Amino acid sequence: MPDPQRLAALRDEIAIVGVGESDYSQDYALARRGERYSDAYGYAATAFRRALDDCGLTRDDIDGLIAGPATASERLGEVLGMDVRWADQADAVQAVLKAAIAIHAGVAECVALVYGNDQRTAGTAYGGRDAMGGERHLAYTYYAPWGLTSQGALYALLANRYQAVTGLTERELGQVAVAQRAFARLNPNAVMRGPLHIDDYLSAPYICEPLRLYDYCLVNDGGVALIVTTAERAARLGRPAVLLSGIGRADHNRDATSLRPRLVDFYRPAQRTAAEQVYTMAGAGPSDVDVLQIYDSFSVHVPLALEGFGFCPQGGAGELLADGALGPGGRLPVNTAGGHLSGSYMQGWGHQAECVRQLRGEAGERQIPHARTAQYVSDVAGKVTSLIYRRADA
Amino acid sequence: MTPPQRPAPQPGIYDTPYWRYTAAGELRLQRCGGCERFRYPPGPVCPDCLAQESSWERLSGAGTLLAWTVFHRQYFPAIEVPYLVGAVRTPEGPILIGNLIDTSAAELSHDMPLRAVFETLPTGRPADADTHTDSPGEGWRLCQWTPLETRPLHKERA
Repeated sequence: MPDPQRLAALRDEIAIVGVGESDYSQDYALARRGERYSDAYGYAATAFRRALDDCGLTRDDIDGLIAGPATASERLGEVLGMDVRWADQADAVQAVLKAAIAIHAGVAECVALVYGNDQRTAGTAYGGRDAMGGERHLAYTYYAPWGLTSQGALYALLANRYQAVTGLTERELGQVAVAQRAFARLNPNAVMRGPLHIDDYLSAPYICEPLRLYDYCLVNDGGVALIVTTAERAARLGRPAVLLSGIGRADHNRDATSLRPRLVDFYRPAQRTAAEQVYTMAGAGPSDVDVLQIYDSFSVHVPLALEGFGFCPQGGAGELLADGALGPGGRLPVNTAGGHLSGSYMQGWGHQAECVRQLRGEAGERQIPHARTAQYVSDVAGKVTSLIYRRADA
Repeated sequence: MTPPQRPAPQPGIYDTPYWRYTAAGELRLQRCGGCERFRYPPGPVCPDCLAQESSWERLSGAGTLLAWTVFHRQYFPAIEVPYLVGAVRTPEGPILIGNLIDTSAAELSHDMPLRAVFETLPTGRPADADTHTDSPGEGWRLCQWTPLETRPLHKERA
């Protein structure tokens, strides 16, 4: 069992001191015109340079590297000209967690977490026989003879059952896309910034019913980098630091291909386990969260996370959504940069950068006033994770 | 030129028997030699008790509709949209995926009773050893699901 005392010792010991992101909006426009000027490593390099500039550390200070899934840490070290003492690969679920563990163990002091992805210009397939991720999640490709391969279709099955069990309406689900677009319109780097009304949502075509066009994430190119170090070192930098206060993690892989965790359990057991861990470690609860970032490859992640992490009772997400609680000015702001649906699909990495920007008070027009505690929640295909961040002076 | 096809099964080390039985019009899955639970998808050990022994036993062909989706986006040239994919809960335990055939989205309801039927798919694919077709040159078969009440033509009972 995870040891609460050891976890408590890690609370507020690790800080994110630098964030960098590529120019999502501009790069998306270029990609739409068929221009391809960079690749995954190029976007990663852009983000890394910006994250370094942001924190005031130099490249020589970096002694650890975590590369995102679309790049290899060895090649990334070569591209960025960095010889580190410790390196690893990770998706957003694991990256911050691994950096914290590595720093706490003493194998590195300043770890760069670097993600780059040219998924749009490279034509990465998230549906079809060769859908990405099939080797990790057999369900992504196993049912190809029946025409079921896209991850969206698997979440459509989930949404179908979830609607029947909880009574969530299409109009309520549509409020996820509407609220996030409203935030994206306040973010100059968001990819989708046109107005989106609930009627636009409801008149958009289904992709896999009951999910419509706006329930699906974008596919765009970009990079995100985070610089992570000890709270002690962060304090010496003299810049606003964001501390990692809680971590929660639980898998739900058993029976994954037969879809029982999705369609019968809605990932709730794993969410409960991860929630208990993250809140206990952080000494906080849902009511303390000022800004919530939810992994949203599909809109239906959002009601699941709200219920699974105790922001509302089971079956109560529809009411929160209908009240407009998630959008600008709402009482529970979610995915304040626009999320994957309207901001940028950086597979959870951008959500960490947004937590940092909000807690520093640097989120411009979309800034949530007096944000002191931010939470990230992710339940990608049965890997549930959550992180709680807080301002160093909070 | 052969017409575009559905993605064919790719029988691996654990799945080959499943497709061989399907070709013969039988729905069979591994049943654990230790705890007697049915297992899906096929695999090396029982996820419940980790026993390696198993036998391929026939399912009743009954099921209930857990969830469904209607594909409106075409991912495969050979599969015309819209089409229905259902997740079916079997009384034996496993949840199975199949197309819902001889029905329409308007006729579906959650937990409605279904039965397994075997659909022979037209294909231009030349018969070869890998496809496990019971009738060389005529394509391959899929276990599909249909409402218990319907009387489909050209289909066989499981």
